[in-house]
Amino acid sequence: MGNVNTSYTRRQVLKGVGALGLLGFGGSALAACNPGASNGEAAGNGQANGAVALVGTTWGDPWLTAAQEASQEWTDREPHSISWHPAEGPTATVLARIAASWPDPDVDLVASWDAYYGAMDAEGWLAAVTPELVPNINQVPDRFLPRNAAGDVLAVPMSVTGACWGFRDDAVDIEFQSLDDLLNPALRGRICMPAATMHSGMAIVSIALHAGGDEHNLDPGFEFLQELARSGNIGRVPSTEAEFITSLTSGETAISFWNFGGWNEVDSHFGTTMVNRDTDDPGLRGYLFTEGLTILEGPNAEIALDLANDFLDPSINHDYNSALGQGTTNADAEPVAAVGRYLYDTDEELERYAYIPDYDHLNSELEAINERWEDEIAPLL
Amino acid sequence: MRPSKSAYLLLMPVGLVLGAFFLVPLALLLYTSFNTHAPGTFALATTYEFTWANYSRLLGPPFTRYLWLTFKLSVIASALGLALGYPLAYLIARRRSDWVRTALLGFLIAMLFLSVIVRLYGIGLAFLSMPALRAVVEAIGVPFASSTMSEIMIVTGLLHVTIPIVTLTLVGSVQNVNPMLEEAARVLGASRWFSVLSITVRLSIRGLISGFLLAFTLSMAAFVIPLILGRGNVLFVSNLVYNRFSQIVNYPSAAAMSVVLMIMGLVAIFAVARVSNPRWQR
Repeated sequence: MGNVNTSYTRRQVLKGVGALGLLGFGGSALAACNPGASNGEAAGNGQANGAVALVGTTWGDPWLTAAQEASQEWTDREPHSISWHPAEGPTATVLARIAASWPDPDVDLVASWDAYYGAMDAEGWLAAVTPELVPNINQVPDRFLPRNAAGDVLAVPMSVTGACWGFRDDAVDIEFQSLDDLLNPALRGRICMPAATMHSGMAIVSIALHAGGDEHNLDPGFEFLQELARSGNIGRVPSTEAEFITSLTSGETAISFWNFGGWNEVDSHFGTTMVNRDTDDPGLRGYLFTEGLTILEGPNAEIALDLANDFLDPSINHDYNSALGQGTTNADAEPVAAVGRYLYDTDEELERYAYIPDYDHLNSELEAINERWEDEIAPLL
Repeated sequence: MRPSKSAYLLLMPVGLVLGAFFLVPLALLLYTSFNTHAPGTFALATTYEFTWANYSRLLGPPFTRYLWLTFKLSVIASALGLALGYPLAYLIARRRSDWVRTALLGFLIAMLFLSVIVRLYGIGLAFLSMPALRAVVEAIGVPFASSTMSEIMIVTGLLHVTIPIVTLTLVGSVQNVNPMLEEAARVLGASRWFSVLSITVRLSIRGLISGFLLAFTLSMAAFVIPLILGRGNVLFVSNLVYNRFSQIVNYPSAAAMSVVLMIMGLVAIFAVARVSNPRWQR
């Protein structure tokens, strides 16, 4: 007479675990196949009352928060909803995702800018922006409207912004009135030179202009860059906004070429000076571009255009751009005071100090620019 | 002993997962690497056009330079990780269970759980905000803004990852070496150092090689560490791949680089593993 044997053998335990594992795997595979378990935020997801859940992508904060706040009135007024997602990287990563899923993308609106409108249009993705569907477009000056060769407006421009050279007032002792000053030995390790692909290579265009070239002839720019790299004055090559802001605010570097939004953020901590006017250097200009909402062709295009129209409402346009430190696009919107030092007040200033590169050309040359940087400049850093 | 049917049944889920999420994407990567890319577009060519160009471009100096840099810094970080991790592993393995052993093990495991991003920014800011540290570096002839300084910072970041992993790997190897062998050597007149080096280290050589390979593969594949600490002037091949995938959207070129990086890593692992044959332990 002994006790009832309640122990298990090792084999029995392993078999039991294996059976449970199979059950669990099969169960989760079945669940994944269940249409009811799909992402309720997918584009074109119709709700029971005919309302549509739009999906939009924009850059991370502060653009994300600004877009959410700008959409609030529309969401309160309409039966539809909008879900804003931060892009997983630069605009190109979002566009690659769209290319992979076209003609059934999972997004309805994409925040984009001048460098990519033409390329998106060439892919046949964009719904035309017409005054009938976006009435507020009539209040936007024509020079801010991105058009293709046929004259179609490609995007709803939300902001006027740009990029330029600047520096931290408390960290630079030399006079910076020419790009030749970047070679000054006093700036050893103090220059934050954007990566070749940042802003579609605009920094290299600025140097090319200084050296006698332009976006179609970058050779003079690369020659100057080689000299700059050899000088040891480049302290960091940022490829993200966070890197730029950290480098400038920590004092690691003091001079850079970056977009106005980034400069605005640095300026909120330390005084900065923008070198985009009152100089004779052809490279020291304001490189302007618009940021806009592109609406993808599809069943939700009209609803998405209606939402985009709200972004051009004078008060919403002002509030949106105040949060970003960028310029308004609606002529009736109250100008954002903070951008006075970035943008230009008169047509004469605009003519003299602003520069708008051939973005389509830059976009097509970006790979070659990047390869030249990796080949000619990076080894010298 | 041949595996039973139930063993194959148990292996099936993991086989399916590996096949679906590892082998198939690898095959797609290889397939993509031979495709043509049209600059300025976001998608692959509408028709598949086979080309060797993505690989032939990698034979030139720009890419081989980055490959050598990745390899060099990975080897340095792995070797330093071993050199610093082995004494720590020996200390943990040879101490009787007490609070020191527990604390060290807990510290190493906690290092693995602590966010890499937090540590990397901490390293970067430490170098920026501590003038004494910068002064030490510049005193040994390394300008702070130079790429050499970036390489030092990258190796420091890699050590944060490799030391805990190497140490935890080596603890088991050292524990497997009977401490009586060391004592026997010392009884016969060997010094403590000599007995450790000639007995314990030699007998734990397989653990050392495993630790090195683990550290090396982690270092070669490191992306965030060179991205944050490299300051843009020192890039690993992984950063070049990211650039091509995200900024330029040249998937075929990125795929080709990924394949080359993977092959390099496998060749290095195979070579090291071949060198470690049983004769090392005699």
